[in-house]
Amino acid sequence: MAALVRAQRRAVLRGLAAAAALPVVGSRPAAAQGPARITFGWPFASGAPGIEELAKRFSEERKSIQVEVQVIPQAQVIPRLTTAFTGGQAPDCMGMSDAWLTQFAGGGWLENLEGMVRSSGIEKEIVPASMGIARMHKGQAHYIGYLVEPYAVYYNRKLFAEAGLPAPPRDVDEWRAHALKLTDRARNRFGYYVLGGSGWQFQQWTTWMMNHGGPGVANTFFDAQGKCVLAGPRHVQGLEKWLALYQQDKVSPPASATAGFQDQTNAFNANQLGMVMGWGGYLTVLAQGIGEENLGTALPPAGPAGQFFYFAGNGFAINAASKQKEASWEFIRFMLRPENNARFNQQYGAIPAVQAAWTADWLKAPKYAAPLEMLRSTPKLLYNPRNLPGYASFQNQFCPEQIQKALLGKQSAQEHATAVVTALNEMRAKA
Amino acid sequence: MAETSATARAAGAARAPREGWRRALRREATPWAMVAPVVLLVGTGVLFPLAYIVLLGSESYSPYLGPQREWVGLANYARVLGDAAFWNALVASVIWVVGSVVPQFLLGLGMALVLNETFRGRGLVRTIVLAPWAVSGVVTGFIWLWLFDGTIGVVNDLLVRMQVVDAPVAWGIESGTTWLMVFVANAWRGAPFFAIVILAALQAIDPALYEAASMDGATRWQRFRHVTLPMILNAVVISTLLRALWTFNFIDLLWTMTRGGPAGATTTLPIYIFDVIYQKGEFGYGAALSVVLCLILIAFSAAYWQLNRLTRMP
Repeated sequence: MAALVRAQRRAVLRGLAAAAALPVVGSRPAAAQGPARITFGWPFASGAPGIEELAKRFSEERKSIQVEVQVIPQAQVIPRLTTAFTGGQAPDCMGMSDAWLTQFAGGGWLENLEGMVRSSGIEKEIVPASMGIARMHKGQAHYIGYLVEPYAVYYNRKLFAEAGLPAPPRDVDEWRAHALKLTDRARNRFGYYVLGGSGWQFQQWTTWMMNHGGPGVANTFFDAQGKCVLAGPRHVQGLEKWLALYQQDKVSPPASATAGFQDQTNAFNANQLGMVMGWGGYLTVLAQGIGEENLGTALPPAGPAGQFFYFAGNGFAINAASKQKEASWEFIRFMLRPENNARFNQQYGAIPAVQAAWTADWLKAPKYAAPLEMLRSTPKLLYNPRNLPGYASFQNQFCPEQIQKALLGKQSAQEHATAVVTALNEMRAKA
Repeated sequence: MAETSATARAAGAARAPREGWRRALRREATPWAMVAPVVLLVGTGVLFPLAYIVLLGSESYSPYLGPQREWVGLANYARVLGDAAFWNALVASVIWVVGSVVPQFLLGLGMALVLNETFRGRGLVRTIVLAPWAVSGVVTGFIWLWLFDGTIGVVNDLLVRMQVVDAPVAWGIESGTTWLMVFVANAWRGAPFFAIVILAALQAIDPALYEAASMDGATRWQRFRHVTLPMILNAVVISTLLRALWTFNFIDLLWTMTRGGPAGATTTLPIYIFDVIYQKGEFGYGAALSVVLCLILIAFSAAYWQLNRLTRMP
């Protein structure tokens, strides 16, 4: 009996050992040559269907390269891509925001595209402002832009008409007057959304600071000695005026102090807001929300020191560890063909980065007039320090907390400006 | 004959020790071989990451600046002790745990007591009441964020219509109302857990105990206090500890609803660690914070068990 049990036990163990060895001995030889497969990561809230369509058309046209699109939730893009890059699992190529470019390029994760850019001659096709952004990390192109966008004013024409306002405000005093006229708290209507939560609130309050105090050298944030200019008395005065819109004038929903970009979008699309500020994607999103005929665009207001605009751009980048760099570059070139770039931006984006697309009829629509004017106004374009390591964290995490303290009365405008300047000076010193 | 037997027995005894360890080895080897894959898996999946995190906490490492790492010993851990943001986040975490677990327990206890009764449609009510447990933290956060929205939220609309408030409340701009908002959301989500555990404990109580108590003249409250509560105490202790530990580590619901705001008021320790790692890119310091967090939770669990043991001693 014991011998029988031992024999059965040995049989079981032999069987287990054989099963464990199967993956080793049973592995097939390397697959025969087939099409190259590349993965493309799309990290933006909108546009995934357009990218998938482009990928499908490319794969049909170029049978030797097949593209698989991986959608990355935008709210989690930094942890997701960081984990993917450090774990060697990042896609071969991807969409990339200028806000994250330095962060990922600094880690050595993005391919230096200078060689590809030069050999392909694509630079002359791309808007110069976009190539400037592309080279923000050590003067080398780590992405190639597919859209450029200014941080513009979007207003509700219908609400303006109801309030008897014939045109958008041109300066900060008119801005305040317009916002007060548009505000009717009893009807849950507000003139302007003073954004304090996540998502580009930085661009709002610094617009007021810059148009009161002026930018630094070459429209940057730093003076000739390399110190941040934002804590100057006139800059602080501009910030105080912006804070007053929320604190004293109450032209913004109370919840806006901690609300995010999506909340602003929802409130505008619910016809509750007269004016908001935002990026180029709003040209499509807000038009869908309130109707093309009701959406107006305008330049940000001027101040005593002048008028200044933020601009940005998204692009396509290649994973430095990718084994399919050439195939990835071919897909990117396909997406940047003028007709493809124009079509994608018309549906989902903003202003095409490919200059040949700027002659398209759809860009002659009234809502594009102000954004195009801003992008052409080179002397007024602001250069926020996106190239500094840690800038993404500064804008996404540090600034919302600081401006919320200021909006909610927990710190003064001067204290806020000092905190921001200290952080930026430290970042620049470490760079 | 007797000598032969004795010799044979002595020879057998001499052989026994040598053969004994072989037999013992054969006896032990097979079960160990059977569990070895699982031990290896658990060891790799649990011990290795733990050791890696402790080591990473002793390095200065930011992948956004390149792959280089620098050994700093205990400097990161020392930095934790002097980090005001860490202590603020710890206080926020305590508020988050206490404010979440207490209402979850009370609600869950009430739900379990009701569901323990026999009534028509009990099965359907059980399903509805326990459904929130199946909803993820992120979805829960978005649902309640919309309900509490300061401009278009249903809660504000109801409060204004019922004339409880004159104007919509901006829930997310004051720390008090923000905490209230997230406690309500978390109570909705977590109460079913307590309901399930306590209901199981209630159903294990022998009805004869209640009959005996009734016969002795015990009131409803006395039956609850002297029969029900002692019988479900074990389940309550374990479920409360588990829920407190999970809640301490939760980031999904709180992140979705507040992102740690307003002005950092609801930045709990896990949210702070997330920011340090993924926003500031300080992986080494973030790892040190994680180790400290783990030690805090171990100390809390040990203290909780000890307190439970001491209070139950005769």
